[in-house]
Amino acid sequence: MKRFVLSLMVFGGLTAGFAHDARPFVQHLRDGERFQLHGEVESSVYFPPRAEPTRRQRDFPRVEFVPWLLERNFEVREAGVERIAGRQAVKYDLTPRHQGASHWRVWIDAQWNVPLAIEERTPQGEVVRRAAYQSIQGAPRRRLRGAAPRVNDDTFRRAVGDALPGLKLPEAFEPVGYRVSELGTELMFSDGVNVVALVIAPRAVRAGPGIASRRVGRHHVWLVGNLPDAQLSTALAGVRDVHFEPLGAFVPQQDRSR
Amino acid sequence: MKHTRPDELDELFAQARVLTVQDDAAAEQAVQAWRRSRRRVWPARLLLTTAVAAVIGGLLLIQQDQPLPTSAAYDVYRQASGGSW
Repeated sequence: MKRFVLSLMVFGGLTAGFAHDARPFVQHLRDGERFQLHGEVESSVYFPPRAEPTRRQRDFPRVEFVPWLLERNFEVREAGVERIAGRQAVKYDLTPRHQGASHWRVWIDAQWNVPLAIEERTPQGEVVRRAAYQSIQGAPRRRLRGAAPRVNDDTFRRAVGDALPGLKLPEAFEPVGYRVSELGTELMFSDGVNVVALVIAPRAVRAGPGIASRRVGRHHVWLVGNLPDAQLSTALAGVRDVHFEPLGAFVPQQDRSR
Repeated sequence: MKHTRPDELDELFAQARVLTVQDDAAAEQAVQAWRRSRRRVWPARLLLTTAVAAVIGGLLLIQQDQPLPTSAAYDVYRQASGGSW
């Protein structure tokens, strides 16, 4: 009996160790935010659709990881070591705990702790986006400007709920950003890795893959993201009204490109 | 054929330069006719301007009702999901 209990404890310790892989991975992501490599990247994007799905570019694409949501919503497992652009990279698999969302794979440089490759796949295994360094010049350089922080604020979450009563996104997604553009008011929702963008606009938008929209009073509410179309439509179906006053308590985040 | 003497011509020209009541009346008729023609032109121009403004306004209104292309939504998503893809 004692031996059985001991085995259970050891087993529990081992599995708990795998679940804690999220924290070192999150730390790698934080390190990666501060540094940038110089080299050539090949990126392939199938959603949203673009004219040239695959192209070469200088900048490694950003993925808006949200650490506290990532730890809550994803299983993170170290899945071996591979070579990317001639360098050793630790591969991490990120599997969502909720239905319908994309799976991710991230290769982190074993020495520099910066991402060398990243891949998004549908639950069915189709590649949605992929980016990988093909060559790297020199050592990582320090970024002078950081990323716009993702909001972790209960008051903001309640305000978004008050602004759009009846909005029913999948439970894993929470509001993490807010900006105002020439299109209208934009809200960003994240599950830790996957993003859904919501727009409150004076005009409608044409239907397309990954786009749901409906009229709510004088406004048009759009939802854009790599989720099943049925999930996007269901999320908007219950929106009863649009109120801007709750969001008026917050300053919209600046466009990162400015 | 009778030829007019130069001094008779001078008298004729002098008489022509003197304004009479008939000259005043003729001048007044000409001015009134010109004013009437101007009044006819102004309403026509106003009507044309109003019609053009109405057409342009109507076209703008129709354009406002047209949904934006899918690229508008995808651009928002690209910005939200990190950029540089």
